[in-house]
Order: sequence, then C-alpha cells, then structure tokens
Amino acid sequence: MSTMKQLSSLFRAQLKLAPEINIAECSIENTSAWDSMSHMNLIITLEETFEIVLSGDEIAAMTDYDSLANIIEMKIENR
Amino acid sequence: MKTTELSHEEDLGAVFSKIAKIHKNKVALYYPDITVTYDELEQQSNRISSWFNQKQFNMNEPVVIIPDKSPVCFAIMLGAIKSGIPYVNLDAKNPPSRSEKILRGCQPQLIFAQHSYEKLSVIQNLGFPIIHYDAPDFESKINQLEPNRSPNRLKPEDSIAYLMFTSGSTGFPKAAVITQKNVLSFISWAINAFDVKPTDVFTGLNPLHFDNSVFDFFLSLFTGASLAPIAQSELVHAKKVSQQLEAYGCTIWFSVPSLLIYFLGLRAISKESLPSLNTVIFGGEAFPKASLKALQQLWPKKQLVNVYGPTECTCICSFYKMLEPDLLNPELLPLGTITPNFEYEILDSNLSPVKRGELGNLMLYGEGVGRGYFNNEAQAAKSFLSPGKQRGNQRKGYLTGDLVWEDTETGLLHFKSRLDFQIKHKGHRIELQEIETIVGQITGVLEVAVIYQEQPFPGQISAVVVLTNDIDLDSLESEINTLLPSYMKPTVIMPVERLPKNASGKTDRSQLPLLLSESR
Repeated sequence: MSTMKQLSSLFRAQLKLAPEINIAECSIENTSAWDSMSHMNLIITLEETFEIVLSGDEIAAMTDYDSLANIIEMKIENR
Repeated sequence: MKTTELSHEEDLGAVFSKIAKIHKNKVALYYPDITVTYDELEQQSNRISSWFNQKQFNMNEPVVIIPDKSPVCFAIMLGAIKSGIPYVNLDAKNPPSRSEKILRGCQPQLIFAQHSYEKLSVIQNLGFPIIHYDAPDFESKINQLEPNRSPNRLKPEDSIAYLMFTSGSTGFPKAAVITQKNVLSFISWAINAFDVKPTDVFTGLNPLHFDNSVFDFFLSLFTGASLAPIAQSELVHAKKVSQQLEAYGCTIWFSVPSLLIYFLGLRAISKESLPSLNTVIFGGEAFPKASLKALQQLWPKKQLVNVYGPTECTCICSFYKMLEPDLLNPELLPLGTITPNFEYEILDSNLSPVKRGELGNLMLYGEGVGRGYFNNEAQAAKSFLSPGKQRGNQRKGYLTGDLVWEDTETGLLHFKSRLDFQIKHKGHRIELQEIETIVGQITGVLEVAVIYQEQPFPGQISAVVVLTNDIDLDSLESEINTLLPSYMKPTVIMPVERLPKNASGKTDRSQLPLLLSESR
C-alpha cells in the first residue's frame, strides 16, 4: 500500500468517517469527529505508524487533511 | 480583597459588586479580540439582575444557560447570583435525551441559549421559555434598563448559587445544590491557599457545565483577578490556545490531568511556554506518574498542586502541593490535607470511625458541604447523612463513597478506590449503572454490563451486551451516540451470547476483563 493510501485509510479509521465523506475536504473546522481527543489519537497513531516525531508547530499546522498529508509526506522523505 | 475582608453575612452578589468597585477599570475577562472590565461586567450583570426582578423571577428557582463562554454568559451567571436565582450551565453537546432529563429535573424558569444552538427544536418542545442571549433584541432590552441590581432577600445559607448536574445511577443525572454560603466559604480558604492576588490571571479551560469551572469563575472574578475563558471548540488548536494563554499572562492553570497530558502530547507547551504561569493545579482524576514527571521536567519551577473534591462539596475539599521526591515513587499523589472549611471522618461499613490509618469511607462535614440534590430528596437521603446520630452527634455531612486512608505520620489522606460503580473518566464523574440503564433501554438489548479499565491512560469504558436479532452493532452504536455524551460512550461494545453469572445469578463482573481481552 502506498504511503498516501495508508495515510488516508488511517485517517478515515481514526475519525470513524463514513465512506461517502471526501477526506480531501476535511478540516478541523468542518469535521465534527475531528475533536481534541481524536486529534491527539491521530497524532500518536501517525507517529507510531510512520516512525516519525512531529514538532509542536507541525502538529499545530495540521488543521486540514491536505496540510496533514503534506507534513507527513515531508517528514517521511526526511526520515 | 483578602479573607479577612470577605464577610460571610454578605450575599455573593454584594461581594462581586464590592470587588468590581475596587477594580473598576481592571480587566475581568480576556478574549482574543476584546477585554471586559470589572465595571462593564458589574453594569451588565446589574441590568440582567434588574431584568430578572422586572420579570418577577422567583428566587431559588433555577435558570439554565447553554453557555459559549462569551461575556454575556458570565454577566447572566453574575446577574442570577445577584438576584438569588440559581443558574445551571448545560452542556451544548449533550445528546437531546440527556438535556431533556436535566431540564425536566430542574424545571427552569428560563433557558438562555444561543440563536444558533443546533438542538433548539428539541428543547423548544419541552415548553420552557427560551431567550437567545446573543440576539440583538435581548441586548437592547437589557441595555435600556438601569444598572441597579435587584436585592437578594435570602441569607447566603438559604440562597442557592448554582446547581451542578452529575451522573446518577438510576439513569437520571442529579443536581448538586450549592448555596452562596458554600461558595463564600470556598473562596475564603482558596484565596489564601493559592495566594490569589488581583494581578493573577486564571486559565478558563474547564467547561462551565463541569465542576472544575467553579474554581476558575469564583476564584478569579470574586477576588479582583482576571479570567481567560477558552471555548471548548478551540481546544483542538492546542498550540494556539497555549499561545493565547501566554499572551494574557496567565499565572494560574486549573484543569483535569487529561488536558495537561493532551497539551504535552501535542507538544503545545514547552519549557519556554507561559513564563508568567506559577501554579498548575489539577484534579478530577488521578494523574499518571509518568506524565506528571514529564510535566514537572518541562516546568520544574512551577508549583504543581493536586486537588480533590466531590461536586456536592463545592469543587475542592483537599489539596496537596507536590514536592520533587513525590516523583521518585510510583504511587499516585496523595489527596493531601482537608481544607479548613471542612471537617472529616473516615468511616467503616457501619458508619463508625475507623482507627487512624485504616481504610474507610470519607465523610465530609462543614461549610463546604452542599445542601443536597435539587428536587431529589430520595437520592440526597442516601449520601447526606448524620452518621454520628447514635453517638449523640447530630451534624449532617456528605458521605463521599471514596475509600481513603490517612497516613499516621504525615496526616495526609490517600485515595484507594470507590465503594461503588462510580468512576472518574477524563475528569468526569460517571456512574457505570447510568450507562447500563440507558443502554439497557435500547430496543434489542437484552442484557448489558459496563466496566471500566483504568489502564492504559486515559482509561476505557467497555460494554458487554446480549442482543436480539432486532439490532446490529452499528445500529446500537448510533443509538448510543444519540443518548450519551461523548465522555460516557463505551469505547468498546462487545456482543456476547450470554453474560457470565455468579452462583446467585448476578453478572460476574470479575470475568468481564478476561472476556474483553480474549476478544482483542
């Protein structure tokens, strides 16, 4: 499975999103399941799965799926 | 204003007015775009109090607020206090069925809600009058009034300050009744214990429907200090919140340990964050030692304080200022010393005092003990007792149901466990029986047993269920979502053919953890 595919299924599973939801449009503001608790669980899972360590600023910048995917991609490249 | 100046004969509203007069131009509330001075809050709460009077609201009958932590919510709380009307803060995120139980339980004279409150239609059907506190017509009506507060003719011990709803084992939340006298007593000891000064700025991180917010609200605005309210929806932006609190110059933090662990986990706080902060207070649940150590290493110069107290006893009844050696052992921090506005006994199962050092049920007496449960004498009779009656002592107190022991050398109290099925999860007090009752009422659920496992942090609520063919797991989950607030929802729902039973035919709860672990 490609990294991006793995990321999208992980994101969907963590937030328990229905299949019809387009995750590319998901942001903290418009996704009710993306609350503070699921945000923390998501970060922990991302770090464990991709063996990366995210900084406070990187975590703070992950406010929508697009920015989250970009940061994860960049972290994996620089691993 | 210090303790010596805080008169217990004065009503709480008069205390606020006195503080507001002294600190007229000082910031009472900090928000990202605006600040609210004590004078502004005094004028607005006086107008609201005057409006309550004009509309002939009854004292000691509650109004409900579905708050968003905006300035008007604090003005309504203060206006109600000034008029001797208890307020109830209701969680906007409650499932409608829970809100309905709370509203029917307290029969409010009025509900203050936001215009955009999404579950408005549900509460409208209950027939209680509703006012939109964010609507221009409410604001203009209020602004036309003279800022003269209506008098509270009740004595502080007879005047209910607020009702705080907490989980009830029968499936119905119960409302702890806290009087103005209880609150005055709370402010009196806390102002000294935490050395609160008008220069202090409190973090307003706790939701207003949650007991911890009592500390934030009363200890800031009734002492001349400032409060920085943070909306719950903002917490998802943890780093931004931490930067805001830093910009406001916050000096005192109070939250559940889960929130501190959340900020730590998201690296939203660092060694350099919040340099003005000098005291970090946590309570509502146990703080796991590994995370506590991480916090202490991050902020070695800030005083860390563990507090404990039942909702029925005005937020806090004991506190413990952590020392570095506490981190050397794996045990949880002690509950500490009982505050001066309480007396206590540790009782055995016959409600007689145990020998010093022995384990027993903590019984609290004194000025901080609330009046009981609102409109619920039967529940109150179970916990608000006079256990010393047979020993010739009539005093009434609150039996906490917390098993504690006193260290005979240090005099410090330590928590062991609960006597019943009550748990603390993410800071919320939950009766597992309430979850069982509610899940058990869903069509298709034949039997249900709910257990709580503390490890790993932040703990897990699991429901083991026996279902008929009328319901599948997905439908059960969606039903539960509509009935329980998020912090009460089981993380794991496990269907089984039958629940394990003991010899007397009761559910054998001791077998449930094994059952759950086998299914993983």
